[in-house]
Amino acid sequence: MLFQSYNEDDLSVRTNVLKALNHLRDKAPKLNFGRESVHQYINREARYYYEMAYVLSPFRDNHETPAARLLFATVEDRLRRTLERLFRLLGLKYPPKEMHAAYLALNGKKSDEYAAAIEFLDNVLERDLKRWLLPLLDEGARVTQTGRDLFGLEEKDQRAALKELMRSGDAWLTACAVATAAELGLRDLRTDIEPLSRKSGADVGMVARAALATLG
Amino acid sequence: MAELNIIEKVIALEAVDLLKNLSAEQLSRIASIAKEIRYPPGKVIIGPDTTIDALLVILEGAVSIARDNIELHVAHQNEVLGAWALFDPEPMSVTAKTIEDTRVLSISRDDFYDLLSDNTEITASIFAMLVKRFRQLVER
Repeated sequence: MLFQSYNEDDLSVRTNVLKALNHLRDKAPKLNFGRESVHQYINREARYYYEMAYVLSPFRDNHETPAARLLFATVEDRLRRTLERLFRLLGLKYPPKEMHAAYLALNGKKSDEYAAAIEFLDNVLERDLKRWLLPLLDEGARVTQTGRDLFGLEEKDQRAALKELMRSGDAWLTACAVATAAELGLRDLRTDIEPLSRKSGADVGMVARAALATLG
Repeated sequence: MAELNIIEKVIALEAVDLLKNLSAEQLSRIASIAKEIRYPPGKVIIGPDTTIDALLVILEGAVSIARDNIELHVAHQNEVLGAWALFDPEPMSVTAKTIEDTRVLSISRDDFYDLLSDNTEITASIFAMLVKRFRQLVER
């Protein structure tokens, strides 16, 4: 029941479910969550990571305006948190302490420990998991290449990235994307913003109406 | 002037020292409980020996802070009134009075506590900031 709750779209629910599952595994190390299900969840999180990396990419060198800065910071935060969820999922399949140590090494500043963690994962992970996860630990080009090969993702310019975020159903990212579109004066996105001004929750609706007023 | 939307509220909250370790998304949760209030000039918004139940972030305008009729400070945009009031229900010993048209974001203590009870990361971050401030006071 708890494990199935990981299908939830809400990221904070997924994180809390995962924390509970990690605690369960600590108490009962022999608990088996089933290979297929764990792989399915890892695949889903990996795909989300690549999707976020793709929408971040066109803003890497261009996020000086206030809303674009919030958008950039939020997507970077999503990447960090998705990586954390991926390692928590790995902790349901492999020895949790070793996975936690690898996660800490990858987030640390010591290059020798980082290299050792990559080598460890390369030795321990099953082939599919290696294919999905090792490239996302690589900065830059390999992430986008792998996103295309594994999930059919396409590189995006700012306009396409904002459109995708507006359709994501994620209220905060939608609000950031709408406000960024207004800041950048992307008038052709009015048709994407217009329905949000009527149908979304109060916060997104208000941002959308302000954006439409700005875009004229 | 139109009411602030959530993006504008987050941008205003980013300037608040107490909240500066929070991520944009965490600030958006605080922004969602922050209400905008406007005061005319000469309005006493914190009275001596009265309790306040909200943190106020000045968006626009100026507020004179005085004790025993002696002005201690004039607070402007991005400054915070009643930061400790979120954690301490005791009355404050100062008077805060607007000296021009003033807009503030008000975060009520009850709403803030509800938010903290569901967001342990925000709680931890705010405690860290309070401890840092306390250490600075002790070291002075």
